Amino acid sequence: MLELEVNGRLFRVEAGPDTPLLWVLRDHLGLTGTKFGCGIGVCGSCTVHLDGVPTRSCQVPAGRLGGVAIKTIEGLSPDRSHPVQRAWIAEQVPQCGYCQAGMIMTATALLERNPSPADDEIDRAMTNLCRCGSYPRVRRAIHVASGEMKKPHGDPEP
Amino acid sequence: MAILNLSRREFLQASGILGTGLLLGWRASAAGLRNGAAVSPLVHIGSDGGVTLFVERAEMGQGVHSGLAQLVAEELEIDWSRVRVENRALDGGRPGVTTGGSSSVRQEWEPMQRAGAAAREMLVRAASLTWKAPPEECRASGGEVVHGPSSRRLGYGELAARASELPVPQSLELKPAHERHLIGRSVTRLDLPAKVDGTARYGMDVKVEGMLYAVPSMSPVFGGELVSADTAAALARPGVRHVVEIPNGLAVVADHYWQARKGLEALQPRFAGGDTEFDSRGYSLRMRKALDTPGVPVFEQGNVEEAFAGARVVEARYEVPYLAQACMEPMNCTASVAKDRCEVWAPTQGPGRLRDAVAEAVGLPVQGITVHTTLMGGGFGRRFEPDFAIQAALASQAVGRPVKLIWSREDDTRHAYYRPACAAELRAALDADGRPRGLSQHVAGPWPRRGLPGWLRAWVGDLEKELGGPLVPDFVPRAISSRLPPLLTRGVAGIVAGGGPPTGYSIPTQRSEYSLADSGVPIGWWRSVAASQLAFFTECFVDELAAATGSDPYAYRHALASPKQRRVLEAAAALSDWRRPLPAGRGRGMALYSSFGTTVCQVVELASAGDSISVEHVYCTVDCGQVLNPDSVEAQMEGSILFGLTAALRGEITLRDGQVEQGNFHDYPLLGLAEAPQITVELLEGEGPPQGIGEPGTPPIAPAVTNALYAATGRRIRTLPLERHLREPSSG
Ligand code: FES
Ligand code: FES
Repeated sequence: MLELEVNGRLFRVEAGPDTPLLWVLRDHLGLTGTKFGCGIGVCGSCTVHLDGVPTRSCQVPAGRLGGVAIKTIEGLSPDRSHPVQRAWIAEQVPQCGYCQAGMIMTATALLERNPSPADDEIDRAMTNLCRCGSYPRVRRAIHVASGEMKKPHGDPEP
Repeated sequence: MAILNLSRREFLQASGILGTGLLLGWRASAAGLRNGAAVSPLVHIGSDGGVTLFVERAEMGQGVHSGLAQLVAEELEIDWSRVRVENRALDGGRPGVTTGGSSSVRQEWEPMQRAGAAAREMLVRAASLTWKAPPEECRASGGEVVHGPSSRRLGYGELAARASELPVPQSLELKPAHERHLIGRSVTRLDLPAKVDGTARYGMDVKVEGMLYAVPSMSPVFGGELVSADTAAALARPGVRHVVEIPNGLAVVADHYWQARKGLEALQPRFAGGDTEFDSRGYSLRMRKALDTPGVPVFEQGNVEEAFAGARVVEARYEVPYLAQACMEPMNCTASVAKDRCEVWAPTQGPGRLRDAVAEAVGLPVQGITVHTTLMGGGFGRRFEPDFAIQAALASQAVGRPVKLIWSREDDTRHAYYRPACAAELRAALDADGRPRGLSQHVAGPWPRRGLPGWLRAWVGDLEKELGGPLVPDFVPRAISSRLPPLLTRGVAGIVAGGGPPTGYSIPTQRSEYSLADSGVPIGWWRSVAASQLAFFTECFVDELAAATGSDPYAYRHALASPKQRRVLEAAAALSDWRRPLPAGRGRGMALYSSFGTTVCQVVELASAGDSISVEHVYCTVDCGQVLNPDSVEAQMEGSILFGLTAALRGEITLRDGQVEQGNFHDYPLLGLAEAPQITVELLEGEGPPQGIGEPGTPPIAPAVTNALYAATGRRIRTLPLERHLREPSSG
């Protein structure tokens, strides 16, 4: 029996401790927003935050996560109001969308650490892969979100 | 196609609609009727004013669901945000609709607008009856009907019930272009909100009550068979419930995905047979050898022999490797097979073929099978094949429970239907002023018979029986090609050598030949299909002709281009500031290519030092006819460019001892964000019907970048991928 704290809630899960967090989230908790793309830590589709750090959940055994705050795309905001989500819509970033939960989780962590990332900082942080070629828009949307997050009242235009 | 009023309860129920309202649809084709199917719902207006559009086209990232909704909403005069799009399940033996060939908007442009217009007219009529006012005084706007003289208004929701009792108007007029307010505008896509909050449900996310998880084990050599496996060891792993047979392999079925994967590790399968000798390098030599003897004519225009007599001849050979589609969502399918029926949830571009294949595999009539097309994490042609669905259905049938079968990334890379490897020889006869007066293209590559999808293979098989001999090695001689179903001819010629003239330029004589270099590697559709290799051959070659005659590549193309091509070409030269000088080590190259009705010109600017290539900027001009959603077209161009650029720079599937050597993104790498060039797209004001947008951006990028590399370094690389062949000095 594993105990996990996901999106602020405590869950008890019947899964082997070596089961990657990705599959516990998807199969056991029904949090299917986190995606499987490669299973070897390269594509980033499975990115979640562990104590705020963007992490590829296919590479983390769920048994090692006692006491760690896990945040998935479902926990980012209740109503798509996170500035990154809004910027993603404003810039019409997703195509198939399969990689985008991972992209968004990586981008939100980047902006929390560095509210005004320069292009080369975006290059270094955004190592997630997208087969549909959304990269130019991902870059643009990160700049847009960064601008919104710096606005005094954090109340961006719709 | 005639539009029908389907507002009767049985139709509403069959369409899964709760409550009442106005439901329009249309009659399935004659073939569909024979199979017992009658009508298809299309658009529903509920008593709450909500509009639901039922589509059969699959959303795989290209924005087709939004695009179709835009067409209906234009005529329906409805608030864009109130439209919902649903994929209609394929059931009752109806014919399926495929999604591919950049065809969706092209084919649905008019029917969708007509459906919207019909619904609008009926709502207006309902209002006029309610108010006892002449219909001319009533106007639809923003989801309501307004009575001009009295300013009374009724919402569509209030009118739906009354409208549902009216006949469908016989004659419908579509809006003239200048009155449109949605078509031609960059409206925000309807599918994106669910794609930023984790609620979008892909095939991978399907959940069915009581479902088990399965992972396949397939022969690493194409055509190989299972010899032995330690089934007991797999079954001993926690959660593993069954090991079942699937074509050419086994599937491990467990309570959870990870348990199934662990079970697979214990399985130790051994396979034998298949073409274990196959080797990419050897195949490359065979293809090049096949170019040494004349091929089978595929296309000829004018007297090419005569054009070559006494002319200055330029020739060059090119080669491209096998490529996998590598959809970000690996192949998967969920199936629930019962005694007399079967339900399938599949990310598929071809639900009809998938249904037929599943029916055959589980031994049920097609009428008993329902296919739910799910959202897809990319398609790129790979999801036309039903192989993964057959596996899921057989596994479900064997265990008597619903099964979700999930491929690993390695399965996906090693069991694709690949873009064929091929080699080509291009020859041109130049007249005195350097213009080609004759051009011939000879392509050598696989004959897709063994790699053909099952349904096409069956056709070929029947035909061969009838003819009493193999179609190979004569490719498709004219006598036979006239008897082939057109789809097959297109499929065969289209996949490898192309069916038409090698170039779209005005060159008086052109010829295309094909030679077989047989291979057991399955081949299939890969974004832009044959254009992906043919554009590389011809647009690199035209660049070589320009160089050979000391001409500027832009001016050289300009002289040969048609008026339509010229417009796109000129726009690209202007957009990229073609004549602006570049510093040493940097280069600029271009390519111009038409496919799927759309003409695209791309100019690449890159820097190269040693064996590195850094693509900095891609300028892209497009004529795709009328534009439905400019932002979507731009997104498709960006995506197509990056898809093609990944392939041009480093995409390569190689085989050794009959096995694909690559497995995952570390050895079949994709371009990353840091390497993605800046992309500037310009859409030209298009006339005429809308054309394809999902694929035509891919073909020009490989030749444009190759030509830019030549401009930067003086090295003419003629074999893809560029990064490897730039490192190998012997190449080119
Ligand atoms: S699935 Fe975890 S990095 Fe690709
Ligand atoms: S949007 Fe399709 S993989 Fe990124």
